[in-house]
Amino acid sequence: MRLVGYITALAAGWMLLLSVGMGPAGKAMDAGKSGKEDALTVFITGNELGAMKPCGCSGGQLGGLSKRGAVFKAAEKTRRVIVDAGGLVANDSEQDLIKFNVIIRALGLLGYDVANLTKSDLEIAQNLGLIGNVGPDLKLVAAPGIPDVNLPAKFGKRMTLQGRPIRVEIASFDASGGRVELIEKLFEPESDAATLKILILAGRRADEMDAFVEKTAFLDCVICTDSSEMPEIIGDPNRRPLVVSAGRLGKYVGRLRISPGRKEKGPLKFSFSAVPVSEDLPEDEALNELYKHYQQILMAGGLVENLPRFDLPDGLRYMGSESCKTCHKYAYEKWKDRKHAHAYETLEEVGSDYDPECVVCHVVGLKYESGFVGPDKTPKFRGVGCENCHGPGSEHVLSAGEAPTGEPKTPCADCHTSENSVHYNGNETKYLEKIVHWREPNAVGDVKIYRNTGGSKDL
Amino acid sequence: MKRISLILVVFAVSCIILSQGGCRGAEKSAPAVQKPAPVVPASAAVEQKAPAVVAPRPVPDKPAPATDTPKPAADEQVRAAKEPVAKPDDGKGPRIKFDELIHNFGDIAPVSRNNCEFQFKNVGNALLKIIDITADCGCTVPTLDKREYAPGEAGTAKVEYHAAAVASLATKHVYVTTNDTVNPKTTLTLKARIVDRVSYEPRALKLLLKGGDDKLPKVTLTSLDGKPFKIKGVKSSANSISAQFDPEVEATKFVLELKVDKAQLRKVTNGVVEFSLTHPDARSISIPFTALTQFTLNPPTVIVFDAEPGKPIIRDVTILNNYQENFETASVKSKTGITEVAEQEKINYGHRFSLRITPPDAPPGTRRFSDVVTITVKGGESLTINCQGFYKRKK
Repeated sequence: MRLVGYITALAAGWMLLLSVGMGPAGKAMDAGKSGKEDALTVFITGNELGAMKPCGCSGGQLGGLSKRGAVFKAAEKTRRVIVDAGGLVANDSEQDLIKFNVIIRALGLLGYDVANLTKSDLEIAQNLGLIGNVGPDLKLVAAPGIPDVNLPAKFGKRMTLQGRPIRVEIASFDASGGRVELIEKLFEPESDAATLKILILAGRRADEMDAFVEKTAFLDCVICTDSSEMPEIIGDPNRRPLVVSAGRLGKYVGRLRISPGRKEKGPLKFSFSAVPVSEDLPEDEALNELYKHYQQILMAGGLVENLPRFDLPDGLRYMGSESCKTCHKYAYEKWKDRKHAHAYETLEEVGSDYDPECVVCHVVGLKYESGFVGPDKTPKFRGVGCENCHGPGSEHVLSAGEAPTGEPKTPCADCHTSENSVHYNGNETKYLEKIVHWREPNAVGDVKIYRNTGGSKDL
Repeated sequence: MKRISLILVVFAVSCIILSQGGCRGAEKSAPAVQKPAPVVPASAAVEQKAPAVVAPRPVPDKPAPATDTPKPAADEQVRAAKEPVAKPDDGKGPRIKFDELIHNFGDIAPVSRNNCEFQFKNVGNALLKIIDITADCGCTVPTLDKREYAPGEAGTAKVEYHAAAVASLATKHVYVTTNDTVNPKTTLTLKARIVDRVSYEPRALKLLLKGGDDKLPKVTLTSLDGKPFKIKGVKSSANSISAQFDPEVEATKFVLELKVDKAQLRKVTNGVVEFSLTHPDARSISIPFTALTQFTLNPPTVIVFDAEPGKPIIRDVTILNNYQENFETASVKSKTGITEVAEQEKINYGHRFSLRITPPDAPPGTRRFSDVVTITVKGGESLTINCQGFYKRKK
């Protein structure tokens, strides 16, 4: 009987352990179902600078508004705050103004809670009449002290963490225009809930943050808007406030996870990481449609056609690759079936053919008088042609080759940047091999070219 | 008593085995919430391999942050399952050991090429094979002289980093995958601060089409690294702006007076003036310019989302005289007839219009409508506003 009693007690002990989550059917499994421990997430982006989509011609490129939503979906709406630290566009050109409108719309579609407007953002938003017109869910904030601005400096969202109410407050401050002592006033308590204080800071460089942090120990986190290529922790990861940067061009999303500490009502735990907006993430249909709308606006505005242009020096003009064919038949034949000759078609395929920022690397002479204006008006300048590398050829053609081609000669690296041609760096020789044409056979009608245009002599 | 002790020992051992098995089961059964996004730990977190540090805060009822070593979320765990799996060190096989895992370039110039080397050694007792070496950016090019290293043999991973054109902090990663079973994937970190070598002021030019050249801003170019440079040339959109300089003069600072061809400037109203320099790390400086025409329309393009046929939308537009002269408007016309003036108000040196845009009926498949509104100033020019509208998506 005693043995039966022991076995019964043993079984009861096992059941007890299972019920408190030590076993595979307990609480640990429940946590497994959601795939996460109890945590809140603050997603951080910033310094978008008008980069809405990775360039269509490169593989593995990171970024893009349409893929960003997939990163945010890792956290439930009620357990996350999505914040943009500002710097939506690079300038205030006509295209930037259109982009600004579209990006604000995109932030709304992506479920952003709050967007901070920098001084230049604010000026644009006011001129566009967007203040108060950004949709019901997206809130705008701006640093205090900017004249004629009727925007709050702070945003707050109440959430719960392990049943404990927490108010996440995000305030904007420009240290170049206000005394640091004023920051504490921004965070005056509005409720009894515990408050997590996050400051978006302009006007201080990343290397000035040590001194700043000494005066603002009451903060939990500072988002430094000084430009950094990816979101990262600035300085000591253990200090408070934790200082992070917002990244740039939308390539990454900064993720600040806030989880309960070891003790009830004790300090919360922070962890920060940069999540790449990878090319293999699923796209959002609404964001893709918005990008198409953006292209339609660019087309209707005729931005490619009306682009301000430089004069070519010495009265030179672009002639088109066909005009080179007569004397350089071998080179022409080499070129016409290569990707360079069809570069404009690749833009049409991805629907970016009305965007001057894209078109410039897919045609001849967009930035110059006598170069590409549009596919119908100047079809001979579609694609990357002879004159991109060799310079405008009017004098050369008219003098039957006596005069050299002129300036500008565009270096390969002007377009094959690490942003837009992700595999180019380190593979320059392989890329040159694809376009080799400067050792012509001495066939009838061909002009032999002895000058090397920058490639290896062994080619 | 012996029997009781035996049962308790069995019970305790069973509990330990069960709890470990149970936790593993829970991890394995954690479903992917979504397609996993690879996570790059923030640089400081990568460096920080120390145990969790909890910063104490004195106020108990207030949430206070603490730092912990970042824990992977469910999506990261799924990704981690695809990564090479580290095994306990049994003292056998190849082992890769890097002298340093982080290289800091310090301050570097925009668009510069920067090289560094990471030395490593096979400290194991079998042939080390480098399976893959990749970077997280096309700007970072890692190379190896060879892929296989005998026990005790040292090697070098060379990395070339192409800096971006914009001043910023930069952190890049290189991933080295090997047949080292204990440490199959090593992350190398590059750090730099990209710093402009030549500064320019102003950052943008606002040019007047009326008035004398005495109101033209001067452009200051300053070498920030102390290296002197020459100005090779100046070009501008529509050849509208020029500057006098001596191409033979070398200095660390130039203050340039601009000359504007107003007839040409009227043709472009916004563009770029570009200075070519001989500075080794700043070959050119581009400054955008805007010519202040007589009038400015804000916004120049009205964009409307979520429009519904027949439901009017109000958008404010202002027209201002940039030369602080009062004026009157003669007419406001809509090309398609969908836009009308709901309200007009005179403001300082300008007018504010509330435009009522009534989206037309949308034939099936139509997502967009447009209009062009022309505002004509009395005795003066006509200005146009491009209106682009997009209908609300049907769910």
